[in-house]
Amino acid sequence: MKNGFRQSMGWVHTWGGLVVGWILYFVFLTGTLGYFDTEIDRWMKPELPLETTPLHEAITIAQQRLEQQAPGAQRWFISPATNRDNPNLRIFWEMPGTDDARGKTGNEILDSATGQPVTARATGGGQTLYRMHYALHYLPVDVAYWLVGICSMFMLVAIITGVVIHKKIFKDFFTFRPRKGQRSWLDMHNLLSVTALPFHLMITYSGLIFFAFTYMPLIIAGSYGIGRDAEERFFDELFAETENTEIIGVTAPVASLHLMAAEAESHWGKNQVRCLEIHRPGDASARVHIGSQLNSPLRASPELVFDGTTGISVGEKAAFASSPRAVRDTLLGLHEGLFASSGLRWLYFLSGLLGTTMIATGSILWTVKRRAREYQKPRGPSLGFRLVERMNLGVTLGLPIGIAGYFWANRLLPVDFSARDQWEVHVMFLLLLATLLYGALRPLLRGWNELLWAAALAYGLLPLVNALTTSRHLVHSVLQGDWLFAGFDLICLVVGACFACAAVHLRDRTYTLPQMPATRSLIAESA
Amino acid sequence: MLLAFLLTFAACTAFSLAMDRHLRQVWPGRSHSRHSIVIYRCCGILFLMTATYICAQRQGLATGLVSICGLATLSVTLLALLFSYRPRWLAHMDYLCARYLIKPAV
Repeated sequence: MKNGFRQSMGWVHTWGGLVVGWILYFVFLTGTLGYFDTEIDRWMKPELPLETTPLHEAITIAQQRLEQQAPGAQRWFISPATNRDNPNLRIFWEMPGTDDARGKTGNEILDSATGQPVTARATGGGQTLYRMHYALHYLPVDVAYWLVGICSMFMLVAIITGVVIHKKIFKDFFTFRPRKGQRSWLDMHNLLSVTALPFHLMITYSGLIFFAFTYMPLIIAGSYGIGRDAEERFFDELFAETENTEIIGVTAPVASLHLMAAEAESHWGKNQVRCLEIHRPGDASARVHIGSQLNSPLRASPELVFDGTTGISVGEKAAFASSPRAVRDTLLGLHEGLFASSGLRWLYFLSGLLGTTMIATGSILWTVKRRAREYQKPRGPSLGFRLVERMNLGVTLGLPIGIAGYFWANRLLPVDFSARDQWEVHVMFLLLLATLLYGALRPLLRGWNELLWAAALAYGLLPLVNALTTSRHLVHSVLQGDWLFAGFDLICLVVGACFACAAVHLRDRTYTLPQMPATRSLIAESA
Repeated sequence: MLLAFLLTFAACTAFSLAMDRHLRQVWPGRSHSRHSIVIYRCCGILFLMTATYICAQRQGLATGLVSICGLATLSVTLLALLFSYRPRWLAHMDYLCARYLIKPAV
């Protein structure tokens, strides 16, 4: 630790960032992909049809299926395909439970053309990638939550100390000076941090809020006592439904749902119906809640409530419940970005990528700063330094390559292979491991170059793999106007091209700059 | 969204050109007078406020504020890349009538 406030902050920033940098990189990259989780889901299930059925037909089909599958249920839930988060008609039901346990639940994705459930290949899809950013993988979730929480806390500290130690935050606001070695890395790291600073702060802080109840259990214990029962009581009160009518026991058919949906549409506008929730269908006490699209970060939307048997509107439930709840929900809503339309979603994605790159450049900057000094040591660079160099290479490129492998596995593993969704993930982590090993065995700059080419090929060839294994190739998608599939292919090509450019750029640099002595491999050096 | 982006980009351009360092990247040898700095900054504030207003008007205050942060992120990133690699492109975007506002270098 050095003397002086700024120096101390610098020390915390450097070492705190380094220790958790690779996990944060993983969290940021998988989380950023989470902004397109549904789109990735769709791409990974090419069997699912493109949904075009109008709302009222979809509702009728869903109701028929629910009557058949779950008569006498406690609750039905219908999500028509009216927003990006829900590209296919989805139904969910919950049967009446006992005092001790919740009732049985079920859910299906329906083809609105036939009314039958659609089956797609088993895949983790975008949801598994998205889940990894807070639950990691291969670890018990509680451990993972804590691990990610500690890393997020370090991230928050790194952001704040980063602002403190950035002396020219305004003067260098727009500054990037390329081809100047360490200066350029620092500029790049600063630029990536400062441009998306509101995002970085928001995403890290709200990420911690997500698991506040896990990280700070004593706050609940303070008012509710210790133990599982106390916790459940707290959550029951926090998320309590305002209205909890008992089943009357008199059967009465559910009134026309699409008339209610039509009324909701006339209230909010076309395509604004997000979901229908039917409480106690078939009973005289039935209530229908219709929710509107999420149009703000509040993470809740206004609901219209109807009498389920007469279809008459009985009131409106505002999205806003209470101020403390609204503060929490707004932070979570900002984090998830479910309210974001496509333009804003891309901005979220961009900010996430900037954050990911910020972390990677930070870790690389650590080695760049120390490189000259380390290589002047009579016995060569220290083991710690070489470890960081190799980890940077292996993680920075290994994770994108692993994710590409996840997509490749989705297309190449046999569709009837029973554990295919698990193997998709295994392929991803095996590739990450392989990249780490490869990076450790090759001369450093050559390792970077070769792995950049590997990443370029992994993404560049993905549209080709897609074309060979499904009927939905790029040309077909463009002609059909299916911009989700076309977009995925195009993004892969762009990402592949970026990696290829980086590889070419790095090769030029390797030849123009004087050779670093870092040409021997990690293993050879330590031997 | 496009209009809001253009305005945000214009605002960020004005803020950056209010700095001598970036001004010279676009027009080498020029520098600011006392007045031109103020004019540039005021233009920036005006553009940014208009963009914020448009976003809030179209998307509601909550979503609008999120959008403007995202647009500013995009704009600053683009500008930093332009200044480093293609500063002359900014000279072509002569929308601030920059040439008339700035005194030539002595």
